[in-house]
Amino acid sequence: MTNPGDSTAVIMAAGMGSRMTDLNTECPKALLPVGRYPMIYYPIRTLEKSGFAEIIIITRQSCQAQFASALTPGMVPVKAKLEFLGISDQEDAGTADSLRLIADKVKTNALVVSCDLITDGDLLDLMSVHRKNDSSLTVMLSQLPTAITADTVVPGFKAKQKNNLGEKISIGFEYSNVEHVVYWKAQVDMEDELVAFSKKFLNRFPCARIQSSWTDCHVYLIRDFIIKYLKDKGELSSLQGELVPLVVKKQMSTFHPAKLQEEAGMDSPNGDLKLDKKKDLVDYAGETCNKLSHTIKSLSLTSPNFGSNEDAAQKDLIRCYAYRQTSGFCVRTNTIAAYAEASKQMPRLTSQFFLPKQTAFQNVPENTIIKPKSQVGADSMLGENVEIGEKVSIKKSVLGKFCRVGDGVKITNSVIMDDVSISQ
Amino acid sequence: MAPKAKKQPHESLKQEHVLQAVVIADTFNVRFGPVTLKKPRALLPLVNVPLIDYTLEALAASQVQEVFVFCCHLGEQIREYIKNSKWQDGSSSAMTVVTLLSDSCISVGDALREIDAKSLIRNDFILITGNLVANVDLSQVVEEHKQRTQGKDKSSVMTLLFKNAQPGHRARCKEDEMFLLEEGLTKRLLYFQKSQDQMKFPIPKDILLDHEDVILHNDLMDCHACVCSPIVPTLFTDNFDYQTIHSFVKGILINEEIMGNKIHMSIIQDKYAARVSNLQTYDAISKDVICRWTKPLVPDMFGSSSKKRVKNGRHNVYCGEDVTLSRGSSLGNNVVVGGGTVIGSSTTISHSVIGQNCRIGENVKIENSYLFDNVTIEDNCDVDTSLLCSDVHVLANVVLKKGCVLAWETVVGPQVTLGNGTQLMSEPQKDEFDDLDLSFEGKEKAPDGQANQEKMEEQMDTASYGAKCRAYLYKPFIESDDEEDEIVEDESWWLSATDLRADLSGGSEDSSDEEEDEEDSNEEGGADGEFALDSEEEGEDVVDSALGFNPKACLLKVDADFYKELVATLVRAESEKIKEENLILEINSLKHAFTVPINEVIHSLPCSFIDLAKKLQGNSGASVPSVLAAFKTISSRYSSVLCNYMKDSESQLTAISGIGDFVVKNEEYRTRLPQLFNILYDADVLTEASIIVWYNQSPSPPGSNKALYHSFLKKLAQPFITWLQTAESESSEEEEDEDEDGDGN
Repeated sequence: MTNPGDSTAVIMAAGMGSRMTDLNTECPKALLPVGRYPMIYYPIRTLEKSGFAEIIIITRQSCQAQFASALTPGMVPVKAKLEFLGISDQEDAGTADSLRLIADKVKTNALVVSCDLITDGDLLDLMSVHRKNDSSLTVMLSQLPTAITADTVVPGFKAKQKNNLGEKISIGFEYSNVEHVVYWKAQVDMEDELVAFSKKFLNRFPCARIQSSWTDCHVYLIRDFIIKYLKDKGELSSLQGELVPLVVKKQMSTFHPAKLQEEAGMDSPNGDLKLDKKKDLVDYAGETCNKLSHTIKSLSLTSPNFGSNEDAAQKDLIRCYAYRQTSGFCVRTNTIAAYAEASKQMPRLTSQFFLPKQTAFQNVPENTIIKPKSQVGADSMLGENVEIGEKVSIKKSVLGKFCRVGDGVKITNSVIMDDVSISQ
Repeated sequence: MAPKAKKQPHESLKQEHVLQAVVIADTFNVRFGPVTLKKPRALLPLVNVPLIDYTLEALAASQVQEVFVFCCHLGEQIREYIKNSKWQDGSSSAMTVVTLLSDSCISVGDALREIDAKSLIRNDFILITGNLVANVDLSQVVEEHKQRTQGKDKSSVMTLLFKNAQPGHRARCKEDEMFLLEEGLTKRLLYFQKSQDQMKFPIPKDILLDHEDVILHNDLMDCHACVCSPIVPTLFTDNFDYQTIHSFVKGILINEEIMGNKIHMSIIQDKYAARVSNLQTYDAISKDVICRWTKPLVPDMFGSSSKKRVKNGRHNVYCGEDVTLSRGSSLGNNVVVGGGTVIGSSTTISHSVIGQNCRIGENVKIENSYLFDNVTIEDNCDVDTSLLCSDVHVLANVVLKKGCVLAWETVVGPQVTLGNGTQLMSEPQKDEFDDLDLSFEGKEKAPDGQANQEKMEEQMDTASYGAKCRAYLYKPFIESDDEEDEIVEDESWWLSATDLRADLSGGSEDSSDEEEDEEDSNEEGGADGEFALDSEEEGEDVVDSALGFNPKACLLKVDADFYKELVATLVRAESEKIKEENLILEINSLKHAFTVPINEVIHSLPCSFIDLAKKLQGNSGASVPSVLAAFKTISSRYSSVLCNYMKDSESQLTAISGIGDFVVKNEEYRTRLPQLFNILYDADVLTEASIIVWYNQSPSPPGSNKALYHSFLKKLAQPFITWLQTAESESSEEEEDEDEDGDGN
């Protein structure tokens, strides 16, 4: 039982769901039901499909037991070996803190997946992008499903849902190789009226395509040296907000082997720990490749800097690429809007997520009690043991388990969780 | 991305519309120095064919039917040339060429206004400068523009043509460096910025917020060719402040929301297009022509009106008819020799263009050079990276070093060596703007009239240019302010032509920039009579033992009263909390009251701020660190004042030399020079580039006081420079600078 590419798969499930507080007062965000299963089942399924057999799930300590019970093989059809790790319940723990927890387990790459990712994309594609470019950090990007941005009627307060704009990121790709990410800036971070590009950036990447139509799926394939850096540097807390922009920016830095040796020379052999504050990301990158690999790179015909001057290889130590998913379905259920959307899409997508033998899965389970003259649309999904009264019409909706729907009820475009009773 | 060739027959279109083109055969600047004083640039031979022929050929190949050639400077010559050229006899093309003469025009805008007044334009037309070398089919761009205007983007008024060229491309003109934003799908131009030597390019964030797909281009070169809607001349007429295409583009972009006009762009990927805009690009494009990048515009396929045959040999050696190669002479790679030229024995020529009917003597070495027609070079000469116009006569045993330009009919020699970048002409320089050239101090000034002629003869520098010379030094005019963002750069084309070999230290393209700037500042320093850093006037030979050179000889003499008053003003400003802009006014009035040149003001400013810091810390009793701390707060508070005076690299260099003088005078600050730099650098007063430029300066001759002085300061500043150079490789974002500060201090 090994994982593809010797990667360590991690699911970040410690999030508080701060953007959907209405829903998760009682159960952690990751366990909210989407369709028939808890949210976290979907990333697990995606990983399983890509061949991952061991998955680490990072939760809050207080919820660890809850997770373990929710994800027992009896409840959900999980095959992979799951390992739960809890982080302390402090408020300010971010995704980067979660990653620090498993820093020692990472051998080559860590594949970090957010618990709220629901996608039919193949993570192996992401990994091939990573390997093809010998990338340091590969992110998965997706075009926003237009339904969410445009006209989904969203439950809850209107004003609260408008934060979609805040999530927009301007991502720059190299023009000749669109997988290469050269610029990363969240639009909320653009405080000044002017956004400045340095001359160095423009000379390095003379033609960059900056697009804001991509969503970060919060799937990151991260090289070990970055995680090591993360572990040593305490101040970073969020992957998307801080680490990714940092790595993208550091692509411009040059590694100075001489400087490093000098510093190392001043301290004792285990002086590394002391130097960590000063050590830059690029130094970590520099350490991973020795002189020989440098020579190989500068002589290799396939290397991007073949034929250029000798320093070039030192400049290209950190590389950030992106796997751009253009078709299929990818949504992050981190807002109520997205959650509702994902739930509603579920009926269509069931076949993607369930094992082949279950493809003949029914949106309306057998043990549903439906009284006469009621209609359940094909675009709806019902949980187990649902009772539906007379003259009910259900369209584009998802109902949880043990729901009771009274007579003459009309449900459209709604998500109804477990044990809800709707009377007449 | 490139407009893919659609092989649609244009016939149907042709019958409806006559495709028109306007050629502006003048560039309204003096980039070619003495070369264009006698002949308009459009007629300068590029690989033995007048430039304008390249442009007209490109238009003819693009099926343009009617061309208006707009000439100003020496326009008669262009009219005369076109009258007698193949373009007028109707045999070689169906294109009609009309020349328009105007003496009053001083910009492209004026030319277009005149065209509008004559209402010559009926359809979309091509606007092009008379120095474009291109093998692009412009009609495709016209077609693209037409489809756009007839389709969904009716408001598009102009499609600009750009050529793909990575940074560092040799045909990229330094003056034309630019940075622009394109909207991904529509090819609309969103933002346009000329990028000279600034390190950062701020763009309004709204562009990124409003458009989902923006392409950032630093890989383009402006061809100065565009397809315009017929409305464009009218727009020029409506807005009198549009001088150049660039100001027009900027104006359109700014008023986009009000006027609704849009500009689109088209990028040439696989064809050739470049503009001869200065000597550097002249050099680069000549080589491209010789190396056949511009096919079919190559010497053997494309000749001027004289239908002489040119033979193409191996290694890009082209020979015209009746070329006489004597025994033992050799032509290296990439050489073009015009018809009727005689080359003597043991002469080697490589990477050069020789015009028609030249006489080249024995044992001559010519490399990287351009000789126009009828040039005579006598025996044993050595010509490297130089430009020799028609009828130049180089007498025996003359060495022309890199970058020499000999204008029409100049005679030099015998037995002299011309230094790098010497520009000579056969007549004394006349003032084009009578009252403007005060800086020439009468030496080079040549008032018109016969009376002074004899006097001028005397001033002909036979010592430097040879006993039989007819040569006068050409000084570039300092351009007046009326052309807003034009920045005069000195012609240092020889640097870029050879920097790949010569530049062992840096290797990056930045260093050639720096060298160029450095060259500028050196020359400026030399040319300005007032700004005398020279040591000759001081008779004292006191050599300070600690410094190893004579300090007095190097320092800029500063008017003591002025300096005192300046410090007093600053102290008062600090105590009374005078606003920055008022302080600037006060300093300016001081400048006038004491009639000190601006150089001196800039030179004194940093020191006076340090003095202010000293005074604030209780004058002489204060310790150096506390003064520095005070200086730091002051300079960040008054950075706007300082920046006001130190906008460009030249003034920054002056300021740096001011600080240098200060530390030389005040011994206790000598070790603090890096901190002083750092403070001003942090306050955004000094830019990294100018500090590096200053650092890399090498005053000649080595061993002189000036050189010693400089190397002394260099040694002091070393820590800061090292830090700068390492920091430079880091990203230049602010937050990181702060990280790095710990290392720097």
